[in-house]
Amino acid sequence: MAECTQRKSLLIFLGICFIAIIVKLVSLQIFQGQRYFRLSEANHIRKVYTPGARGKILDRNNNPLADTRPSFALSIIPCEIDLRTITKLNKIVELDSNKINTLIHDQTYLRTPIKVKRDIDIQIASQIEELLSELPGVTIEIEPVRIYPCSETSAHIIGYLGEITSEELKSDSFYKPWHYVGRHGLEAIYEKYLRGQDGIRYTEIDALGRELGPIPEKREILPEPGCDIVLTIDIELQKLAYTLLSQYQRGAVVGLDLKDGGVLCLVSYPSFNPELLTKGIPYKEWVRLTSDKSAPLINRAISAVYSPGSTIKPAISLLALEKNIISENTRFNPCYGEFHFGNRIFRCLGKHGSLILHDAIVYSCNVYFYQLALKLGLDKYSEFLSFWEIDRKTGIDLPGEKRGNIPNRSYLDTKYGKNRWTSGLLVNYGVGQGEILVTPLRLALIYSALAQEGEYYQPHLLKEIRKSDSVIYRYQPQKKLLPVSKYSCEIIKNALCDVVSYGTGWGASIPDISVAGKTGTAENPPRRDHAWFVGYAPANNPEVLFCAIVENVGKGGAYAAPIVRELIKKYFQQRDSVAHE
Amino acid sequence: MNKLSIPSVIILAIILNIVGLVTIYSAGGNVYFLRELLWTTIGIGLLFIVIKIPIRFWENFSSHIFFITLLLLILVLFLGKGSARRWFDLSIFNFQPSELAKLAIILYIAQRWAYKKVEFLPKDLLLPLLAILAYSALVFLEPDLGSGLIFLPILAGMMVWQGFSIFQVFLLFSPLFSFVFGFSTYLWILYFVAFAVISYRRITIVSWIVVLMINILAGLSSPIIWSNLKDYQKARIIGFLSPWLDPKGMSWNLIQSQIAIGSGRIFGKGFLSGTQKKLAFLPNRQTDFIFSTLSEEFGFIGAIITLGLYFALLYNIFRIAQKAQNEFARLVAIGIFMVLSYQVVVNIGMVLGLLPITGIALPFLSYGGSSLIISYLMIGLVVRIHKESQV
Repeated sequence: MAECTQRKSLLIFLGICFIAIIVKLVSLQIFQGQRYFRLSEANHIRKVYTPGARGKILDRNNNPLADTRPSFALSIIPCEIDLRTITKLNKIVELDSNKINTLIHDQTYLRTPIKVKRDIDIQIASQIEELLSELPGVTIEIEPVRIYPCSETSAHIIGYLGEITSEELKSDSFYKPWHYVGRHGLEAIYEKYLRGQDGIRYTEIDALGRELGPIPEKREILPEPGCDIVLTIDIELQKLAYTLLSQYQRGAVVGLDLKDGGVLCLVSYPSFNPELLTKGIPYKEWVRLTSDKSAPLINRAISAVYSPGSTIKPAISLLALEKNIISENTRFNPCYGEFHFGNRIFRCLGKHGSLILHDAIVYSCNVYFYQLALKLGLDKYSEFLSFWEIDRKTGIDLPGEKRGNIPNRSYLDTKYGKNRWTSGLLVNYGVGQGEILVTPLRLALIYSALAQEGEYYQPHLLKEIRKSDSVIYRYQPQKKLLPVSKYSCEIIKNALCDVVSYGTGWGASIPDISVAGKTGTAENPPRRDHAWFVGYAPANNPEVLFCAIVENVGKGGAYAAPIVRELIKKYFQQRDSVAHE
Repeated sequence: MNKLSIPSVIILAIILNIVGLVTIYSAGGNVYFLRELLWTTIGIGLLFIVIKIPIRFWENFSSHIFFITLLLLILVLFLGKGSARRWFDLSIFNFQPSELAKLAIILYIAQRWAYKKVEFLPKDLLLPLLAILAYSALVFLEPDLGSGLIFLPILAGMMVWQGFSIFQVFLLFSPLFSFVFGFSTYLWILYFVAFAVISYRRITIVSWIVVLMINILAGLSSPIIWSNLKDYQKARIIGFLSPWLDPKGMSWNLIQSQIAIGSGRIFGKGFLSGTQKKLAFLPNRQTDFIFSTLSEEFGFIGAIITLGLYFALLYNIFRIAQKAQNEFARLVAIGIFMVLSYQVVVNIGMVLGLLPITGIALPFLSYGGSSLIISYLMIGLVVRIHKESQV
């Protein structure tokens, strides 16, 4: 009997094994069945995102400033790739193993190809393409990459792209880990228009990852390219300005269409290669860019401030006329080359003698304006500066704009201590030196208003936005008006005209075109002075205005005026050639 | 009851074989299906021949069969086809001597142990143990880990049947346990202390010390053997212990198998509609992993019915063993019961992820000539035993 029981234990043991099997079956098929069903569905369906191309950025004549070209990208499918394949792949192209590891462990995109190496060489791409059957979980995809045909020339306005960060991914669900976003300039400002919408394609795959074809129940979503952005920029002027500036170490140029505020060119020198930054710049190169004393990443036209030097004189004079503080015939003490105030001596460029306002502007006589500043007093003077809004941002559609500085009473009290400063500072301010600071763009706007009797337009780069060749948005120029009288403006404009005809700005004169403008020389001790010139043309009916600054070269008339001359020349050449056609 | 058992064992085997054919058709297509059908015919033919052969014949020739098989197992190492030298190419089917070895060992041990009082002494245990070691070693060399392990449960089952206590069986297999635990030092120490305490005083002090020494040697050998294992064998063990470590690598099979089974849910995806199977995610879908294919397409219902059929078959074999006319027949029947039980439990346990993947066929379901024909042969023996017990 005991033996019989022992023999039966074999059967009982078998029974226990079967119960264990049934329990596991119940767990897999009944309790977890739904989950495993989903897994099996996911197993044979691959979701592929097809990239929507980023919109172009075009100049006013439809020349591309930012475009895309097709490229090969190496993608891996996290759940299909194995470590051996990665090793094999690494022999062909160098891969970022950290990135791949995080991808494989991130469960979000298990069955979606994710780009790990972009813009690979066609030779390498075809080499991998041939080996695909031995590389499970690897695909080669074609995707558009950003190119910047004008490269350094317009890098500061166009900006560049960068791979999305994990923070940005969290804050905006539009983006996927393989996306690029605008990192600076217009790429960043108009990101929402420029970016393309990815399409989605579902394909059935077998265990080796071979695509068997589309799945009828799952409709494909087509990618949608981003909008094209058309700018007011004229690429020819932009290029010319860049070339002209590149004779020097550092500088900036702003060109404005006076009839609508459109920016014709906006250049900062030195510059950088935006494609390099978009691709992912090598660390060493980045250190070089950021530690360069010339700060190539700074957009000097809107993000650097300088003393305006003598270019401030016409602006102050206009208001002094308006407020009847002086008349056009007012003379101060004659100029003998220097001006004594307290125990200090302030110099002038020449010995001008006794001048009326017109001549003081034309010859840029410092002694005249020292005395005008003293006559105005600090409060009046700083009030005039704020009339020109030099301490405000212009609101141009570019990131990183800086505001200028007005040294008013409270500013000086904070800087030097209450009553610890003297009117000697004011003398200096009279000729635009010292703590008066302005961006080249703001100075260009001040002259826009001077040239058009107080009327000027909000500066902007955007002309229109197009979606598949039809305009979906056209920028409406915004007119602004400063309360100045035509009479006073005429006096100043006459003087500005003569500055170029026979005064300090003769370097900007062009036969057959009447150019008006003003030179400026901003002291920058102990280094050499910054050279300014702001000019517009035609003098009687202004259409175009350019403002140029060249850092640490010397006199404005000698260095900045020729730049403006060349640009104005080019502008009219182009305009006339269009008119003739 | 007994009258019904004759047809029921055959009928159950054939039903299971049909389930297998249907699943093979779905998993492998026409070619596999037709070949399996051919082997089914051969198998059933053989079954009816074996039914005619008296048990006496097998008893008389058990030693011959044993040594011929031994020879075949040696020969296959030299003449075998395939990357693992497991089979002879007989053009109709690949003949696997390791399948025949299952039956040979049963007959051999049954012949040695029948008609006498078997004791827990070397005189009764040494030869069967040596026979098993020889067979296992030769099959391991092929290399075929799964089939190599099959001889141990046969011996264990027959020992239990013969009245050896569980402790004695355990004692005999203790070097093996020591070997398995030897892969982890801590586990081995735990095992060894427990073993020493349990076995103390139950055997003579000299045997106790000898057994402990053997255990220590076995435990020490495992790290050495581990370093000599083939990479894929190591991978299987590691893969079983932590399947999600490298989902595309060694445990891919197990994960895909579980997905296939689980995704079948209660009613299955339907005949020919398993996506796991169809798109080749499932490995060896018509051989070792056929139960996954079956569960994917026929769901929990299909899996449970299949399990029920197996249990009924095994239960009937067990009943026949109990009722058999003599000790040899009883031992043969219980040996066959053990072989089939082991294969069913280990194969299904493996595809479900309960046991490591060792690569063992599911009787009557897995595609493969040798396995099917030997299975039918064993059923034939069981039926003959039953017939003789009726007289």
